[in-house]
Amino acid sequence: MSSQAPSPSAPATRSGLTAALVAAALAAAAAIGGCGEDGRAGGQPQPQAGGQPERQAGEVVDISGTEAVGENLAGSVASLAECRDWNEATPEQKLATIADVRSQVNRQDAGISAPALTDEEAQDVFDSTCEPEWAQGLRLYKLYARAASFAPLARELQP
Amino acid sequence: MRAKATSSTVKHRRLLPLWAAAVTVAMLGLPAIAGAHLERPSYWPDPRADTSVSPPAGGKVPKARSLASAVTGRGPGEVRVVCQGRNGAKSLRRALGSIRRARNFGFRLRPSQSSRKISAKRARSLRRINRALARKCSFHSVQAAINASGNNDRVVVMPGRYVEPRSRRSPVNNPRCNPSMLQEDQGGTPTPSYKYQVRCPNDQNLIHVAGRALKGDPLPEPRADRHGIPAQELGRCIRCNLQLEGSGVKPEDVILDAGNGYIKPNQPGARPGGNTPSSECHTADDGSNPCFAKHVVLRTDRSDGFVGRNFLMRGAREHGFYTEETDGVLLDRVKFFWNADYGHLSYTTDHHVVQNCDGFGSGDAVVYPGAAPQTGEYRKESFYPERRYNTVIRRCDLHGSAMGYSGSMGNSVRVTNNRIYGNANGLTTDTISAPGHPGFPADGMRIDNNWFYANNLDVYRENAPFEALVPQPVGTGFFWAGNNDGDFVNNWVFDNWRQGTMLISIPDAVAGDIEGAIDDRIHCPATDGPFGFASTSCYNRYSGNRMGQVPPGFRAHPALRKFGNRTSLTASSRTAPNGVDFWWDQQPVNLGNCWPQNTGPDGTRASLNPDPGLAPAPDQNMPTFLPELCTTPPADPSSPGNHAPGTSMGDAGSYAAKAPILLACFGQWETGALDAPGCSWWDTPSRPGTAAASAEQRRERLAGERLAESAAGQQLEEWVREFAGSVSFGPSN
Repeated sequence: MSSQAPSPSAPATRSGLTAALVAAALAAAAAIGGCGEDGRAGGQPQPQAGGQPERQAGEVVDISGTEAVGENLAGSVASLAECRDWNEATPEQKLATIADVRSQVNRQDAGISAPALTDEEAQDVFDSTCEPEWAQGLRLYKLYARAASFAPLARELQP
Repeated sequence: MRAKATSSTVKHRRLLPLWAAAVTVAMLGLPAIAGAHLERPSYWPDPRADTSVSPPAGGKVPKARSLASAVTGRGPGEVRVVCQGRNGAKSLRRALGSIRRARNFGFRLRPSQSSRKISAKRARSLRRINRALARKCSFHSVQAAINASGNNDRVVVMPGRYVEPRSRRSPVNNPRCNPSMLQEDQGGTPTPSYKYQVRCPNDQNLIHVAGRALKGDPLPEPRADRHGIPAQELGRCIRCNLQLEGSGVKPEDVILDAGNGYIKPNQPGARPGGNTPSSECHTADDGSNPCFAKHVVLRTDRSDGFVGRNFLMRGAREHGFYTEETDGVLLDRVKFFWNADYGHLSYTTDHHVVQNCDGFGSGDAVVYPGAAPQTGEYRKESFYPERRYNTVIRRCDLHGSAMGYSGSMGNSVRVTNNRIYGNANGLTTDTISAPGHPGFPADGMRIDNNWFYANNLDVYRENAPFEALVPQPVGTGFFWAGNNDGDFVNNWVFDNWRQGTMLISIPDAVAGDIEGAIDDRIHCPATDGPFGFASTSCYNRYSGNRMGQVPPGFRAHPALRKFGNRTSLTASSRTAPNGVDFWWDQQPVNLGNCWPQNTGPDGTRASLNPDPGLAPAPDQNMPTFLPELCTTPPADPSSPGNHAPGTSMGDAGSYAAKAPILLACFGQWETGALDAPGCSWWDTPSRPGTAAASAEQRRERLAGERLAESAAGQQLEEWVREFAGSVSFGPSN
């Protein structure tokens, strides 16, 4: 799998759906295409995890060589990675895991399209959903897909 | 015809030509959502029979050959017998014991059925057949017998538990195949190819059936049009028309077992891992797992004309039965116990029937027909000349799981005469998983004459017997999360404490490419505005259903309370209300949904308890009330004006009040921004009619009101109203 964190662009806004389309496309291109030839993630602020220094907006997070968390099956953790894996991951591993899940879920191979979650959105979803004890077995790719399906609606309500 | 406008402020529609939308999508390279299950780029097989073998393979649901014919020597095909013990002695002992017990005491094929004894004649026949099979036995491994088999052959498995030691020794991620035989999608994402499964059949699978020979490599880039497996990689039949069957009295007599760590492994219901908490059933760095040895019990790949009958598949890290790109699969008298993801999973598979089955213990669903072919109203008629159901699930007990049934892009599947009970959510299909699942949007499903009851299992509690893999609203009988042109008719739906049925729209953002995996027409109208394409849920019909009524002859069987499931049902129950009978999100541009001629607990329309509520009179569609007048979708649904006068639709105000709940619960979206108190779906609600249930409903109502009054709620409502106001559906409404 890619060891690079993709960096989808900011969410679409209501003011222009064509713009949203383009934004989502660019986000997707970044997500699928790998995010820069220098092996670094694009500029997007990332949520903080325990004890890590606060990152600034636009700061590049290098996750080169960082492995995604979860059981690897045939080159990807996406089908088996669970909340418990997420909760034990470092910030870099979380980005690598999101990249793996996104690459499997947001496929380009069937003539149909929908927006990818940004790193920040995916982290928010995983962080909040994976917190309760009962949620430890939930599969990350299922959470991702469900949230992405409502992303157009949710983005309308962001400040 | 799908299009997307550039602004939500326009007051009339401006539809982009389809080609333009498709080209736009293609050029921009937008990603796609594939959610419920991850798979290699898959194609729907050619639905015509393959006449290169005789009898032809596929083209219809295969017929099972009788067990008796396995010992007569009459073909077609060779018969290979698998057994345990010297000359099959151990298996024969088991068979004779099981026959004796079935004759004297009877057995239940499904937990909801009565126990039945077999006749003396049937017992004599089974004894004679099994003695003959023991004499004929020459295999102790199911996989070895399959490997030796060819087209039209049969593998008969005598009673016993088959753990397939050689398969278990085959490593996961075998370097012989991984990564060299991984197949990439257009984005370069790796998935195991067909060649991977053929070359390393037991990497993931306890037992693998490769139906076709290897030929060429997959296309460098998967074809957008998923009709037909590309000729360059479709090899000749090598194991088409294969029949695999158990020779016992009942399915539990032959256990195909991928599990580990049982306390009493020969007991069919034994749990993998014994007393190991489900939270510890995970694979260690050295590859060991205290509960599961293999990811799949039985996988059949491109195995046209496959018949599986009379056995139990148990203990998979992922799926019990798994078939992909297959034309013609019959599963009869099969069981799926304790498979961590799905008991049954069919994918891009046609002419498929699952019948007389039973399953529990799945963290997702007992059965999952996913990416089923588009054989419905808007099919590609040059490929599928006739409109038909491509998959039928019938006479099954689907219970004791997160869901009894699920299926993303479950096009034209019929679910009939099943008993679906004791799950968190009885049945759900969705359109969340679009591209990895060809067939968007799901349509043409028919669900009829089933019993959905007591789906109140709290799978999210501490120390649950299996781990739930996906969030579901506990207490739900049936949930369509994005579906078009569906029929939900003549079902009995009772004792589901949250809601009997639920219908929502998935606010997909973009859809394109009519030549690809999506329909060339979609039942919902093309709309501009903030929803983008509202491709689901339109023209779903719920009729003749009995809500909150207990069917005559219902028996409160022990499996009803399996895993601590909660129910109000007793032997004398005549009514058992649902929390809400019909729940609809009322998405404003959803057209044509209707709920006519249903009855509530006292047998009348008036006793129904739907949300939205009942209109003052039946057989009409009034804004903000439950629609009860069905209309027929027009030939060209893309234009809103084409829809019949009076066609039902949702409304902005109601949707604005419900959408935040969906965002918080279904979408897992940030509840803080919505001032939401959190999601209440993860616990079993209180029994309907109790004071506690009333209090819960009151709290939910107040929460909804708070949401509606919050800044975010008002923003949402304004947005929805603006959108809905920009579109006019039909001459009058």
